[in-house]
Amino acid sequence: MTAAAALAQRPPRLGFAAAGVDGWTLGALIVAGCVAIPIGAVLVLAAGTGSDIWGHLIDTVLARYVGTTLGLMAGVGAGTLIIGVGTAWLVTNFGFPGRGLFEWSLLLPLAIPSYVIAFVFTDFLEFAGPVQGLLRELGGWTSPRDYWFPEIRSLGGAIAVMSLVLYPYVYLLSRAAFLEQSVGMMEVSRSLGRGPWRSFLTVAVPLARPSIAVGVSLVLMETLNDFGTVDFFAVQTLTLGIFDVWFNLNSVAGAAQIAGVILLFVMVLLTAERFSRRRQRYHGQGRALRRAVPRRLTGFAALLSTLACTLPLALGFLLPVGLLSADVAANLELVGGRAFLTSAGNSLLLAAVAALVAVLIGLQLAYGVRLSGNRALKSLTRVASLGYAIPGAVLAVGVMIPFGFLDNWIDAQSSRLFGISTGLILSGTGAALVFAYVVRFLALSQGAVESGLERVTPNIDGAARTLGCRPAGVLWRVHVPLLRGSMLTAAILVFVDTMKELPMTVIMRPFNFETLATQVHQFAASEQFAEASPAALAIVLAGILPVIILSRAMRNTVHIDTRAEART
Amino acid sequence: MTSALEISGLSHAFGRTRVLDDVSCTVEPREIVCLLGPSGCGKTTLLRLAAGLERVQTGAIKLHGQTVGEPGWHVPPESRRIGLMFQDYALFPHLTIADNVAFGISGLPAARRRPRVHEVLFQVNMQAYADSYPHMLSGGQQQRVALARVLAPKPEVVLLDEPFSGLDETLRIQVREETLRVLNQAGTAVLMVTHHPEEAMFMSDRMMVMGPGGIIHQVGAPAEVYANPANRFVATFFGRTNLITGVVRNGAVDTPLGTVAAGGRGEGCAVDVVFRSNGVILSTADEQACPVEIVSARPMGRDTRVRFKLAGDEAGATYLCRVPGIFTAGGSARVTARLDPAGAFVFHRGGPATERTSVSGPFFDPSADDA
Repeated sequence: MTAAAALAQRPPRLGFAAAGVDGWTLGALIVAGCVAIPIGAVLVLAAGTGSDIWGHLIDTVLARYVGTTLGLMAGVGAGTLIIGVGTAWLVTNFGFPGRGLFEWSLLLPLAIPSYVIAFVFTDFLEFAGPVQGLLRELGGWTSPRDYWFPEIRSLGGAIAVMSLVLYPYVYLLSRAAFLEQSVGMMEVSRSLGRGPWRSFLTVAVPLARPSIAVGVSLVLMETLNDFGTVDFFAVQTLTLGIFDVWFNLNSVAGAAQIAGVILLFVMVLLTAERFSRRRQRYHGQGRALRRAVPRRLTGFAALLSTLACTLPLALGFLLPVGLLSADVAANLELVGGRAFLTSAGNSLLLAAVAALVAVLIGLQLAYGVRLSGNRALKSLTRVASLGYAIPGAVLAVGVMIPFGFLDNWIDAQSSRLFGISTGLILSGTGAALVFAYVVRFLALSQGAVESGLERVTPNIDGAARTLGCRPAGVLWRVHVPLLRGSMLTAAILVFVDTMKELPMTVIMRPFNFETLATQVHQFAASEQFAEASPAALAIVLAGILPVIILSRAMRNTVHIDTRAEART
Repeated sequence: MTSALEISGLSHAFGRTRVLDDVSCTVEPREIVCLLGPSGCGKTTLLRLAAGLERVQTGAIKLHGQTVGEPGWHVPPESRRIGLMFQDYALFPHLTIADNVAFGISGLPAARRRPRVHEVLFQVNMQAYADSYPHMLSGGQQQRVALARVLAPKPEVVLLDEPFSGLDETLRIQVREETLRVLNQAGTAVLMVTHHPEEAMFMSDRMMVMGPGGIIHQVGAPAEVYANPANRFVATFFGRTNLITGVVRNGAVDTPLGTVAAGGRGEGCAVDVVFRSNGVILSTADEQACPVEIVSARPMGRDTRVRFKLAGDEAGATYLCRVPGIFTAGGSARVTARLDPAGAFVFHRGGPATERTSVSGPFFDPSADDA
């Protein structure tokens, strides 16, 4: 077909094309809209008060839920802050035995979901466990009344185990911030008469504050999201309250209202995070002019530093993984058992489908935004990627309610038209669960694709278009090959997070459908720790993948930095 | 015969910033037209509109008589058969040179595609690099590959966006000759954008000078635009100029450096006399001319850059002049200056871009580095 012939056929001027909305934008708008529905549903439900149970909730449990949640957040926030900032400062500024190893291995606890470490430590520290057993033997005691031992299944215990597995967020971000700081800043402070400690607290930490704040808000979002630990430890947080009200009081409306209260927390955290990210840009001086050469520590100081870094690593990763492995080794027949294999298969399938869907949708949305710059699409994708901040239990409420409406509507229509009741055909299926995973983890895949796309100049798109490629062709022939790495990373992140996900899975899974996470939760709840171990270990092993990706990304930035340094 | 590319009444704005103001132009088949203008004046936007990468807001774009863009009507870039070469070349980093060149002709059967790729790579003398990747090539080589990629689908119109700006000075001259040869060989209509006056003059059959805000100041053959600039902006664009103000008396303007014909400007009209740095003749023998005082003389190799002022005018303005070869008559000798009518132009006072021209302030002078 000649160009002239192609140009001669004018389509009608009406329709979306005239309004500047092409097929791509329209498709992206629809998908983004679908993903935004549960988030919107929760917001709407939270706004609409006035159900009967609300007053009852306020009178009875709400104060306790809120108080406990605040206590947990304060404790985990403080714990991760101290561990994360402290270890980051040590490994960026000092040389001591094991520093190179700690630099990446301090990320390892990220691989362990808090509900896994919770039951492992409970098994380890409870009355019948090895630690107390040893103490009794040494002290010659026989009953719990003879000695004092901290109760792990408590608010304090929850704070401890969650701090141990969540501090890497703070570590990662504050380490990056410390690396960016020019050594000159510290030297100026020292030369103006402040000692190393005061300089650290009054110069280095304030400069890194925006990054640290981002890390802590991520930690607190994870804290709000946690269901397994607080359920197991019977710590009455708001998240646990959703389950209580929904399944014990049988009130969806009440659950939605508690979800609304959690959303208030989330909004505060999100605002703090966004605000800090914005300040990060102003505070970061880009690349340090001159990097501090890590000061070599000797003697007692070196020993203390090594110990300070070993402790979180040992307690947050080595010990729990060791205990798990020992448990699994002792009950090897369970690994070949039906329960484990079925749930492992289910987990793999769900996680693979969720990862695939999330990456495809992330690609579609990110490319749609790049293609059109449509303002409605831009804000809708922003809303659609809010899922990462919304706790799984809340999101489950947001997914179940519209799905329930849809099911009822389909059922009513079908009864009216054909006289057949369809029942609930969508809720409680794997599809609804995958949808929920995608809503929750879309930010991961979309973010990865977006940052990959940003590295490609728009002229590349223009070149492909003028060479005769349609927008879909540009995506397929140019961007997909260029984005392969980012998409793989995104898929792995979503895959692993889906495997670890507990609250949504518990609420939304099909009847009698077990995943590794629900199996860990169930066995742990009935104190069958040996039975829980294989599934827990499998989740942890999968969780190591993103840690490898993170530590490689971390090392790459370091390499670039040192190369730049060598040039100056 | 219809024009290969016809742009009429094109205006464009990004938010409140106007980047094109009622631009009209044509490019005939086999013709090379250069759009010359300072950086950031909307030249690239014109190319992107022609290629279909932006939607037309006001005006119309026709390719071989067919409207491809006007408000409410937009033929997507992939259906226009227009080649656009980007300033940064935009080679696909994941494809080999051969695959880059083949990208636009992937619809052809392999039996015809491969010879065509070979042919255009041969034209730009890059056939030895068919299996290399873009990052392995130098800037000049990447430029040639980008050109080959644009030409491979035999487009009806080729648009070049600052095709030589990524190259260093010596390479630029060589690549420019190569490019001109290849383009002439290909025989397509070319619209090229540059901020480099010398480049535009070298490449174009016709040139258009565009100013800030996307206003076209003059269209014409390069020699004509150079010799008869339409206004001060155009005159200044080709190199440093000097300014003397005056009033028209008896069809001419009297200046201290001589009398210039007013070129039809009204009696008593306030005018600017603009003369280029090579539009004034310094002499030690011309007793009739205006005596001047040399402020500085900087040898630049091919010529000497001389700054002078009128004798006895201590606080007065200084003027810039280029003298071929080495200028020896500094210091003691009595030097006079006289305007060369071919290098001095008379414009109405307050014409375009007045506020942007200082006494000797050009927009751009590729070799200028005021001593």
